[in-house]
Amino acid sequence: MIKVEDTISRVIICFLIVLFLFYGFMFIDNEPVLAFAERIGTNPSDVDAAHIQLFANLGWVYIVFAVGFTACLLAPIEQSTVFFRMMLVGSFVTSIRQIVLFMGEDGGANPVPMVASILVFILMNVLYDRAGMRIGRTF
Amino acid sequence: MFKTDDNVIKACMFISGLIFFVYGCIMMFNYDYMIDRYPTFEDNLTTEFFLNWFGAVNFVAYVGILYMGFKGLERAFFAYALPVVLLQLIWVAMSLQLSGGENYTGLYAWIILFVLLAIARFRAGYPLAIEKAGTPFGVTDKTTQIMGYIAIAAVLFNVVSYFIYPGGFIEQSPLLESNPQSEHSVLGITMINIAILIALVYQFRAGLSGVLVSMSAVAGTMFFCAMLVGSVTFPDGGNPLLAFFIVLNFIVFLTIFFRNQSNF
Repeated sequence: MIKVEDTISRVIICFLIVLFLFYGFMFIDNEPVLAFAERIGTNPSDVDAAHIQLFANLGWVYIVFAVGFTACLLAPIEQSTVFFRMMLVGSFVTSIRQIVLFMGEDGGANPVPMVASILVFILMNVLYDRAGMRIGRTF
Repeated sequence: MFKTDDNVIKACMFISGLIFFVYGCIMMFNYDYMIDRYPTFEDNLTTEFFLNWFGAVNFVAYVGILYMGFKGLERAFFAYALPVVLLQLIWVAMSLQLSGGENYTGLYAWIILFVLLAIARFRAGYPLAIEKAGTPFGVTDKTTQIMGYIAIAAVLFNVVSYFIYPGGFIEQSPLLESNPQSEHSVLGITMINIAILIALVYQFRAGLSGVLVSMSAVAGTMFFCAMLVGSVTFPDGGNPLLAFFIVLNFIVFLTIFFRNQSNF
């Protein structure tokens, strides 16, 4: 059923599925969003319905990413090249952005989102490398 | 689709999947819609918690139908789906008695669902007798067998503990309110557990099934992620025993899945 043959790649993909589902489930519901906002240093009373709606949209994107990784697990690894490439670039941009935000004024309340985005970027690198997808090696 | 030429089976499974999917999505992601349509539902965290739980169960059943759409019908799915739908049908009927019959949509939907699944199962021509596998769970892998026994023991514990002390689950969950609705919802979860127990015992006798193992893996992951979200949202409001069982299920079902997925 699982077509990815490399065990480490399987473990990384499964971890990423759980991670994206975790953030996805957290963002699509009101109470977890308020708790998340509080943890990253935002006053929950400043979070209104529009913010919650935007969080929910982001949550669904995360859930779709989790579904994408599940599909990657069930397909031969070479078929996932474009998806991995997109996630690699996406996680790079996100992690840089999180680092800059964390370093900025009033941005250092909670490093967990930054650590999570850096972790995803590192794991995507390992995954990309182990799948032999780096440009220059494959074409 | 479903690796069959019988269009009646295809139609029955498609509509069943649609019903599971719609109810799963509404209960998990748009519970306000449900609350609006049932006047006796209170708009609080307890109702949301149980609606999410039932929604997840529906969504997992939809995943099973999706799996079979690609891989072909499996008899084992019906060994879970028919009991769970029948038990939920009884539970919905009991709910209507308690509430005085406020909304019959769920009852009708579940009757249709049960009929559709029964038609698909019997048109597929599966015999009623269950052929016994050579080894427990049909595998020689000791780890899988041990995990299967742990899964059966855990579900059995949950079912028996409900009948010994029905109010225990609510009492151990600080965030849940004890009222007739929530107590009735715990009965619904117990009925789902009974169907899961039937499915596990079926697999113990007939061998592991790809669709049920995959559904278990999806359910285990979903509940594990939901538990993580709950633990960061309400750090002091969790039920330790429930968390223990969710983590245990996650480990057990994923171990079974990854050790046997190459056979499916």
